[in-house]
Amino acid sequence: MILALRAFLISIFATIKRWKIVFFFFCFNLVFGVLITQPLNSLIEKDCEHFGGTGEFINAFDPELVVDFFNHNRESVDQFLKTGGYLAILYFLLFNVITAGAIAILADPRESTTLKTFLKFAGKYGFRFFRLIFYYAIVLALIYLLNGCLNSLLAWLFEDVWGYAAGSGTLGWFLDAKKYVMIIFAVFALLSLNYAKTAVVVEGGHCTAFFMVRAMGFIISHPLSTGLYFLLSVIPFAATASLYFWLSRTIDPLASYVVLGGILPWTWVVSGSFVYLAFSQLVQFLFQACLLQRFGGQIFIYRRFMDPSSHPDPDLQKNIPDAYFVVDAPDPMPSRPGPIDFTDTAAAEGKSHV
Amino acid sequence: MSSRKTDSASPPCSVLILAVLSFLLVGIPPLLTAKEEVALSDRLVEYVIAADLDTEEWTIDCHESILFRNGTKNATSELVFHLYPNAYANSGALHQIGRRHRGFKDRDEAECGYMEIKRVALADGGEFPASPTIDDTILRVPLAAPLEPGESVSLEIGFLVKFPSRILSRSGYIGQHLRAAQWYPKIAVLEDEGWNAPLFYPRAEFYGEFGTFDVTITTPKDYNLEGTGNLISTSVDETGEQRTFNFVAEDVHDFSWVADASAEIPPASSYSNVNVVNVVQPYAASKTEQINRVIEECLKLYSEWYFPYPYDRLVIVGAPHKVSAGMEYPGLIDISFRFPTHFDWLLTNTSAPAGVLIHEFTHQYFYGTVASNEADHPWLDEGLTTYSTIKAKEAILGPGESLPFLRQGERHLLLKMINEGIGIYASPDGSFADSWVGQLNITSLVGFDQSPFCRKGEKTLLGYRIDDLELPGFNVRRDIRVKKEYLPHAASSSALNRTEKFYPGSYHPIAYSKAALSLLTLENHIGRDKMIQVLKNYTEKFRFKHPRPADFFDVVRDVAGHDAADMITKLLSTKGTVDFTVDSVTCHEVVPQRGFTTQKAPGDPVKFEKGRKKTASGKEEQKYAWEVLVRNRGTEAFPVDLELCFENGLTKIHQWKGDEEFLLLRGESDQPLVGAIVDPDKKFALDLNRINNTRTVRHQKREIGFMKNVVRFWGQSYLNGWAFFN
Repeated sequence: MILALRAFLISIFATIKRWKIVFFFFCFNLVFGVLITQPLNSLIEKDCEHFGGTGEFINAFDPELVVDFFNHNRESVDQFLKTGGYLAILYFLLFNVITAGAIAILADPRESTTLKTFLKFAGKYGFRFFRLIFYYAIVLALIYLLNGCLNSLLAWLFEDVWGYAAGSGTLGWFLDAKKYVMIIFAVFALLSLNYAKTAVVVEGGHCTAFFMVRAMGFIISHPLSTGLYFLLSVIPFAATASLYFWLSRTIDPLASYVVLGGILPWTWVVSGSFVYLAFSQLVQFLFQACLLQRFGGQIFIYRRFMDPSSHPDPDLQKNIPDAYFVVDAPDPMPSRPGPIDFTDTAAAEGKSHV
Repeated sequence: MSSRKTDSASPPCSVLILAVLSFLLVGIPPLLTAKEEVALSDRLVEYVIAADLDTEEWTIDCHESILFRNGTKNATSELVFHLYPNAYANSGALHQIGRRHRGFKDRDEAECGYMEIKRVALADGGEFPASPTIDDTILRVPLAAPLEPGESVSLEIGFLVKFPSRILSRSGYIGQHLRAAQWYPKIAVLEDEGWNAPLFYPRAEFYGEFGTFDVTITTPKDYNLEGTGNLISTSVDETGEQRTFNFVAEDVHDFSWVADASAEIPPASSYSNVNVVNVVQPYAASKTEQINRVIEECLKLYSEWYFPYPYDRLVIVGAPHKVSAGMEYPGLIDISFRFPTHFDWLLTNTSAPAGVLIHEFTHQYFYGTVASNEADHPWLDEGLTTYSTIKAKEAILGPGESLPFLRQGERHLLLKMINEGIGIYASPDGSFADSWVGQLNITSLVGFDQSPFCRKGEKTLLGYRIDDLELPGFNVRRDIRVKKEYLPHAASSSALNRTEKFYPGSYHPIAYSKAALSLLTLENHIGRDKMIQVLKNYTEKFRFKHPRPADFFDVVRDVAGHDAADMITKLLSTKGTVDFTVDSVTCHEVVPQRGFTTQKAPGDPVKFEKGRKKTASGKEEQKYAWEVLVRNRGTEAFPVDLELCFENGLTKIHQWKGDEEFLLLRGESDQPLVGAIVDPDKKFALDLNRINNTRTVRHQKREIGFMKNVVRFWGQSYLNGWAFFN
């Protein structure tokens, strides 16, 4: 518990320190976001540029107009969905590659946060990460099969054993149980990929299948720490989403932003539309930070438990304080280096840190 | 032909015996006495059926006595019966051809069904001039002499039905649930033009003659059984292994029943003097209260709008999870009980399944009592029902919320993600939807969109299915779903087509949705009060009859005038569309003539004109010239209003007859024109695109900018969903 909490806190500081990576993630997301939505936005521009009910539409939304819009532009929308689908796949694959740069920089406090370093690591580990997707797909397929088996089992119980006579309580219990089992397996698949990436960077090997298996073993042998950290890492995502929903409901999109207008007199000219743009992009930025933070904490936990001897690094050893050998997670090899102190890496980074 | 009787009210012998026995033994007024007191229909046919259900083989061995009276103006030389179960016999049946053999490819013996006619005889032992013949789903019984108007004939038919091991066109069994629909030789409707007895084509099995049914069904003792009409008695045989149920239904044109070994039947609830009987699947018992609440409201509403529900009893069957339900029979409706697919809180917090429930209950009027021929005029049945369902939903569930774009849009997006997970969203009518990329979905990959309790292909997350428009806060306008269904098929077919004449895939969008939108359009033009009057007059005049479209149009003409009748006729009878558009709006200030005046004749003075004059308040007078171009991009012309909006908030209505290709309206005013709206009161519910009904002079930069920002944000968030699983 303490280890997970510590990983959570440390990764926050590490993320703040590596804000440039967050910014890179944000730009990457923004570029794809613009590309993926541009066709739809063009249609909106074309169809609604002189639409007389825009104000009414925004404040008292009439879904009929959306139905009409999508029908009127059916072919374009189909094309938009198609392009969007391919872009989403491309995004997924490229994002996987760029996480290589992020994880590698996070894992090595001596490395500078420059674009050059980032791309260097992305190039170094990118193809390995890409291969990990293949194993990830295999794990997902196995879970898919498991889900099918559980479905068949439940259907058999319900139809043949209970003869449709089961009450909602019994049925609900089994459905819930299945739901939680499947969630656990899905999280397991995700964490396997995440820790496999971490292992590839921390241990520096080439055999991605080995690291996928190793990551699975790691998660199975440390379910409490990895699971708790995953739960903790979901909190920032939830907080970011809450922030968005709260902010988006406090503005009138067509009026100037009154609160800011009171503080900064010139902002009276700024419409709510721009204010929405600003805070929605801030939310996107925070979301990227959450992603990076999740990786940071996972590196911490992995390093804490696993033997980094495959990559002996005297500089790293110097920076590992004893304080991180916590009581709830006994070090399997106390004589070996432990986790990196992300909060105390400025000295280690020295002048190379930009 | 001694079997023929000229006394139209004479019952068959077996009914008389039963009636006498009932009177002597129980002391209840017998069936016939009651019939004479409260006959609501002409009762041209009387069925007495005894059936024995075998749940091992899933067959039912029956004997049917039928008394038929010729209620037309012409004689007939034959009797015609529908043998609907033969539609499931083989792939050559017209029904299967109509369904394009869907699902028949690998069907085994158990999955097929049929009706075997063992014996057909005149009740008095008379001879037929020729043997009865069977063609697919039609049995023709020749008569020795024509049956004259008012004469009756009595037949005895022995038959056996084998039910298919799946529900096909609402008949068959799954597990221990048997749905028996169209299960007996059903006499076709004899009209003045002759027998209306086409072979069984999909969705064409609903037309029947009003009469009485006395049905006795014996089943294994474990089975609960419910059906149309009143349950008169149940008894257990001396071995204790068999139960017998006796139902009597009057003034109905069909008899349907269900048998279910696991369903529960709690005591009936009484609303508006109607006993509501629920056949409940145990796992969905908690939904019963909500179902009954909706039915209670419907009974009240329709009693006010149309006429009180005419039967003593209404049976609501909750079909088990694998059974596709949502079907109406006289006095009996069935709905789907797929509730284990919902979160527990949804059981009590959503309106599901109110929509289907209201729709099926409405069919008790438009089908059950106002019994138009759905095969010939599907819109009279489904269109009026869909329209009434929209109105009833508005009355019972509220008219729907009007929320800001952001909130409503986000709710729908989130709902989509809950239902379908993070994936690639393909529009259902696009080819992309069927490609592997179109199916790619992160939650699908781990099978979270599958559940033992959902139908194949149904989009779910974690095995739960949340239907949109059901959640609190999602209840948008009640006609949106209808319009959404109509739009892609708008120009496919006329709503007045026969069932099999609809362009493939357009039956539902046109017969249900276009008809309902046409009726909404009519209502918007004549007003809600007159519309209620139209439907009240129509239902009262044609209850227990078989009206045709002309009858409906006549009622509209009587209540709302010729224009209204012409409008609804035109809307329904063509496959044309309506799409009013403001193509352009311009406005500019009129520059007054300034400078020296030119002479009109030699000697005229030349003066310098300053141009603008001053008004009484001392301000310079300004004039604006404007131009509005309107047209109907649809194919059907209708008169429509055009609203001109000026800067000071004033509006001016111009009426356009709509009979020209376009309208170019020019004018001058003191105030600048800011925009124009065609059909400002949204009277044309089937307008193809309402976005182009308005146009402003000003470019809506700020508003468009906001919408684009919202779209961009959600596009980015969608990508973040992919990143989260990376």
